[in-house]
Amino acid sequence: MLTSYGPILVLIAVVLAFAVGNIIISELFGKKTISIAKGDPYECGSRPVGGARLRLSIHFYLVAVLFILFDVESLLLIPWAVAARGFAGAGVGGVVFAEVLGFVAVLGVGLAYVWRKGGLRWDR
Amino acid sequence: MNVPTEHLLALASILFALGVAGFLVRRNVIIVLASVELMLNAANLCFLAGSRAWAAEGAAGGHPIQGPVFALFVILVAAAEAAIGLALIIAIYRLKRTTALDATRDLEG
Amino acid sequence: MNDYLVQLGRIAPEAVLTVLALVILTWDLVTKGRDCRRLAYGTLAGLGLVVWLLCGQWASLGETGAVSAFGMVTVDRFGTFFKLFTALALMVVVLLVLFDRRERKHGIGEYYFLLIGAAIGIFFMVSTNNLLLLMLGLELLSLASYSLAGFHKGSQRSAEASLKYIVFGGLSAGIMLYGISLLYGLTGTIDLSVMGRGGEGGYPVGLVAQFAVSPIPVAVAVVLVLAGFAYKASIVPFHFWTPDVYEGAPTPVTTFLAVASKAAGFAALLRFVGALFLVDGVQEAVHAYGARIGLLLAILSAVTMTLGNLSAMRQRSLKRLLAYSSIAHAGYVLMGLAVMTEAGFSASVFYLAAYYFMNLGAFAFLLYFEGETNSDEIDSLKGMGWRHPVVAWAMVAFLVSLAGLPPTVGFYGKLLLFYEGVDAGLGWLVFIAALNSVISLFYYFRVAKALFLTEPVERVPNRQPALTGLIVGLSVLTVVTGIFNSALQRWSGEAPRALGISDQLEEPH
Repeated sequence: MLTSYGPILVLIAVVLAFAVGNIIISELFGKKTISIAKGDPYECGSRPVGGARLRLSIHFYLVAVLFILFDVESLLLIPWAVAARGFAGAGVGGVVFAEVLGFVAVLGVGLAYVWRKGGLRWDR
Repeated sequence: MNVPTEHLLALASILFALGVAGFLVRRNVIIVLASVELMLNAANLCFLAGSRAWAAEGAAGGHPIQGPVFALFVILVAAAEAAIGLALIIAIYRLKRTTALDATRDLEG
Repeated sequence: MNDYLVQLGRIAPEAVLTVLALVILTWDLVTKGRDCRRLAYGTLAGLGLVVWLLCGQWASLGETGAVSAFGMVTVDRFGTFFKLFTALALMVVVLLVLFDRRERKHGIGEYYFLLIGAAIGIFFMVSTNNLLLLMLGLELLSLASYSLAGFHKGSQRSAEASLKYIVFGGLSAGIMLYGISLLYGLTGTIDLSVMGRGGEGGYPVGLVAQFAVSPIPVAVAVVLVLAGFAYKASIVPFHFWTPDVYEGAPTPVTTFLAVASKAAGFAALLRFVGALFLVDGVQEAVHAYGARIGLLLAILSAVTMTLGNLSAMRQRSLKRLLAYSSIAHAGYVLMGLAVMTEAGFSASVFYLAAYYFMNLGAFAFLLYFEGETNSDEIDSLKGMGWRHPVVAWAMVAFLVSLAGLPPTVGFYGKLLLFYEGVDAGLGWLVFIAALNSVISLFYYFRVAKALFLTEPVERVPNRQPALTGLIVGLSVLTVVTGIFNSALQRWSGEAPRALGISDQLEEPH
């Protein structure tokens, strides 16, 4: 029964071997130089400014939450799109299209609400 | 490669148990809400496993679509719940400067 | 196309509510939150239209008639009964928002929008056999309720109430959905009526058949799903949120949660239990199983009412007292379910209807009292009976009804429940319930005592005449439906008949 997981096991082994192997190979054969630039967080030369743990504006969360909401709502269009072809074939395509327009209209009212209430304004 | 249904159900029940345990043990509201998401995802896995099992039985002459559609709606509900939950956490944080569940002791008795 | 319009007509009340919600929201945006009284009037008008549509629907449906809309919504008298009460209760709640002296009058358009949204959730939840739609309705109700409970987000208590509500709500939703997913895996369908009877040719598998093969998974799944309903109806052990949320939420919202939301939870529970365990034709096979679920419900009922009443005795805040009393009443309603007959179900439905009247009234009184004294402590009630005699006497009527004394509707509801309980051989449960009624007398009497048994003081002018009118109207309803109860009894008897459940769990011979 568990043998059916064999391929996954092999994949894990390959991934591990590749990652660990690369580290070992570069450790063994790589040329080593030590300089100040090596110790920088960004080796490409730009100097970091300020601490790494800066506080994000609370507004960021609001926009993120709004994004997730509208993003997930649009997920519902996928099953509609799959089923719509069948309905159009059955001759009720217009009705089904009107229904999805209604759905989008509801989302539109939601968007208008967010907009008017200033949920999309970044510079406050 | 063929994963038996029992394994999927076992994974789902483990996820569910982890969710319940996280809900009961953790004190941070954000983690508690994340535990709830875990439970919802356990349900999703169960729906998909069920749908696949019935398809394998040749039920209804095809792939039963109710399970996957249900899972889709569960994802939707989970997002909506998370949105309201996070908005509330922000409101609470503004009032109390903490997201620990124990700190909400104003209502007691 | 014609058929489409016919089916659309069957969900006209829901459609009207949805349009109403969108109209209220855009109206609020266009007027920039100025003068929300107009929004309240608009909401009331829309709800009036919905009530009218529902009355038409009730009349057009036969006694056991059920029509389907788009294969998802089941329109029958059971659902229409609860929809009608929800719409009426919502009208009262909107009036309460309007009369709430402590509520702002501007920029609260979302209040009405969220209330309508919750009602849409209830409407779909009580009139479907499809678990997907049931879950979506329940979640819509929950999401709107979370936001409503935290409506005063600047107030610490309100925000905390909302947080508690959403945390426990998330837990119960997760448990319930896991249960539904197991049920789907076991039977291959998400339609309750198909699940109860089983499909043709062995697919989808009926729950009874599946129970014969694997009893434990079926039992686990059913109990998990029950958790979701128990949460909405605040049945032990999913009652923890109730007192805190009721206390922290704005009083009109508390009214909505205590009355409409709880009754909707019970309606969905009745449909679920009825569709799975009281099916015509298969009840013999399901007997042992159904009896066990009945026993589980009976035990939950006893624990719920006892815990609710005992905790209510210790409360000093009227709002918390009413919260615990509502838990106790959930226990009483559950008695009718535990009986597992159609007559028991209709007793539950009758009691829920009675519960609408008396609790709407009691919470309206609470709002009046809060508006006067800015407090919800029972101690600050002292002398209210002399200062505001009209509302105080109305409150006494509600208290008498809540305690289950004649001549009120609460008495008659309890009588029906007790009668059905004894009839079904649940004597021990009826005994516990009777004992609980005696306990509840103590704390209801405490409120009445605070109202009247003090030194007489000067009567003060009534500053909330509209709210007074509403309270008096509700108290008259409470008493009148208690004395002339035959119509309500007939309707509540007809409601569960539409579920198509069998008359009695037959003893297998």
